[in-house]
Amino acid sequence: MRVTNNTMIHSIVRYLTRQNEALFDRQNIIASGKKITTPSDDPLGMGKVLDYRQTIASIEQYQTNIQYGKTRLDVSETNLELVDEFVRYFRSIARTEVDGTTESRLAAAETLKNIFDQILDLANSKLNDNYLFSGYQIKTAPFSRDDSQATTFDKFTVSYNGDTGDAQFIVADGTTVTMDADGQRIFHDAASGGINVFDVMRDLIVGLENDDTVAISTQSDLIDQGRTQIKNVRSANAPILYQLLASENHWQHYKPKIEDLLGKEEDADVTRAVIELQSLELAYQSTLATAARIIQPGLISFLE
Amino acid sequence: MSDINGILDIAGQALITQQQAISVTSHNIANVNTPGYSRQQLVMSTNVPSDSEIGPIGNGVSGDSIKRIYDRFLNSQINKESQELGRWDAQKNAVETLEMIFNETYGSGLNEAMSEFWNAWQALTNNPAGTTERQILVTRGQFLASTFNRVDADLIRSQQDLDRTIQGTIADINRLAEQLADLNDKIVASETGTQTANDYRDKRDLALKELSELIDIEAFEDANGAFTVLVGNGQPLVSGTAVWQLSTETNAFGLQEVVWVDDAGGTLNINSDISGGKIKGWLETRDVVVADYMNRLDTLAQTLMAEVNNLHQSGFALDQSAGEVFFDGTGTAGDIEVNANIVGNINLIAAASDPLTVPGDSRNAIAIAELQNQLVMSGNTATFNEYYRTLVSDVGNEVLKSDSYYAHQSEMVAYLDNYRESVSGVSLDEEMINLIKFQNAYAAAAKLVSMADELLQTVIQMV
Repeated sequence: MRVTNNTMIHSIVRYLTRQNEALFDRQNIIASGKKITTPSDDPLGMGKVLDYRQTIASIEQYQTNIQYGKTRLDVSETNLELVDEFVRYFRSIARTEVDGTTESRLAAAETLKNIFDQILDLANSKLNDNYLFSGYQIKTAPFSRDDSQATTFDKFTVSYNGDTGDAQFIVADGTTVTMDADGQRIFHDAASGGINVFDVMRDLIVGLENDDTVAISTQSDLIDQGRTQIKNVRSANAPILYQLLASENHWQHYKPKIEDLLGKEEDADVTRAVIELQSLELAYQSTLATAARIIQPGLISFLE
Repeated sequence: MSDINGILDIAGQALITQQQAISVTSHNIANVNTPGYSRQQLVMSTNVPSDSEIGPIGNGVSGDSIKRIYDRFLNSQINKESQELGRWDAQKNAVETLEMIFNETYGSGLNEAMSEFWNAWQALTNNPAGTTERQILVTRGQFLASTFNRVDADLIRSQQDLDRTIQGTIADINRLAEQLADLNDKIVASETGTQTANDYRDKRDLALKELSELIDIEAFEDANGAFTVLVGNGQPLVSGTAVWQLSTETNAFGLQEVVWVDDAGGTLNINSDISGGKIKGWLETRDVVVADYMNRLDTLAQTLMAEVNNLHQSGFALDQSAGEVFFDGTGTAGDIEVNANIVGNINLIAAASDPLTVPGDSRNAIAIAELQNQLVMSGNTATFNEYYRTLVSDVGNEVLKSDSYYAHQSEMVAYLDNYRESVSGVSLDEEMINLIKFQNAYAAAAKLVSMADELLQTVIQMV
């Protein structure tokens, strides 16, 4: 083949351009720390990267949801535990006052009225400005009594203002955890054959005020049943907590794996890129050196 | 005529011929870097011999013509390959720009916007009556809608950019056509017999190559040496000294299509007949690639809007009213937006599935949040995000494809250019050798003159 000056110059320019492109690529990889900086760097890889990113964002949201669920469960458990203690106090007063005097019974009635209100407050407890035990009616206080009524009986008759709704938390793709938010089932369950804890307590207070030993004794047994009803609701929360913890545990282990996959897909092996850069530099420099030696001389240089 | 004058004649012609050769060599050296230049050679031949008693006796040398060293077949091959190179060069650059629109490397693209949108619905399920959650949901919805709008607007802008480029290129094609006709004229006028208008031909070949890079052409030379150039489906662009024009007309989508203008000023649409050159690359990108991306983006926006609206309308707002549409718009990526009523009153977000179960019911919000995992795209085989990811991958693949076609084609053209260079290119070493060769011949011819002079002196002294 007949090789002219321009043939050599063109091929040197082509090689140098190619090497510069490769150098530029490595430089980009090192500077950005990523091996995929445009979709065309690896179309399939880019698809995976987007998938992993979305998965991680979803997992983070699930973790937030689970945290909400746990907090809710925690708060309602703490409240119900306190309710239980107060109700137990009610029962112990009832037991004591079966043998009490008229005066002691009146005094006990006054104490129990205060505790009644504390239990009512706990049943009306809120989390993030939402009532915990009013079903879907989270902005309505679930339980109320009317202080303006004339008799103790009427004053301490509590009505339920919520509904039978529940609270749901998304813990995984297509999986929700449902938590009971129906305060009626906990405190006010006479309608479906259970105990209306507030009625029982009210009757006890009225019994004490009326010095009615039979009523005090009856209510004392009913209070025990009320405690069992609240305990049952609390124990139903245990499997829900387990479900939340299991999901949380799952995501805790799953997320680093996805992050690892994302890293493998998109992060550059900088060490390798640097080594490649060095070898490219060497190639580039030798091309330059060769070019300098080939382009310069011609026959002209040797003619006098 | 083997007398001393004959020797002087031979010497004189030799001087002239070698000088012509030196002049051709100088021309070669001077044009070593001229694009499209083909090296030239003085064709020397012996003069007609004279009869003598010892038989025909030589009468020296003279220059016949100046030959241009080139390979006609190679040139037409280069033109063919240049059409493909131009096409992929244009398409590569155009799709690389598109790639930037879909570049999700640093987030802030549709993938992230959709992801955040679904997560905002999930956050709402944790606190269905929460003002903050509702406000965030509206903001995320607006961000999603505006990301759709932005990508769509970017795609439209890229179509418009391509449109302008195509119009500009049509002007270039018309200019090259004028130039070709002008060169045809000059070549036909200056060529007689075996003498060729070398430099004009080089210029014309170069113009043809430039034209080939812009649009696919069919070119052939007639008996007079003039080129006829056809475009589209055999429509003449140049024939001898006659020139036709290309122009553009607006199609139904408001985009420019290429037309050929006939003698009477009538137009013929040759848009679909164009199969090469940069024009083809731009047309392909504008009408096929970008159009496809826009369609798919619209499908995504439309389905997302329909699915979300459908569920949202079956839900109930905080004021117990039935849900309105969540997204407004005509069902395209270009004008999707969050319902202005909802933006103005976040309580209208319908998280509940029953009017009586507000505000604590989040079942409708859960249903909407779970849309992200539903197979609603591509004939119920893909989720929204999967559908979009495929689009991004396809954008990357399109760039890779154009890149590799371009790389292949530029190797091809580089090879042919090299080959052309090896035939027609000027080698300075070669020219230097020729220069010395002709210089020596010139010196020797001059020596002949002085020798003939001495012979004459001798003859004169004999008298």
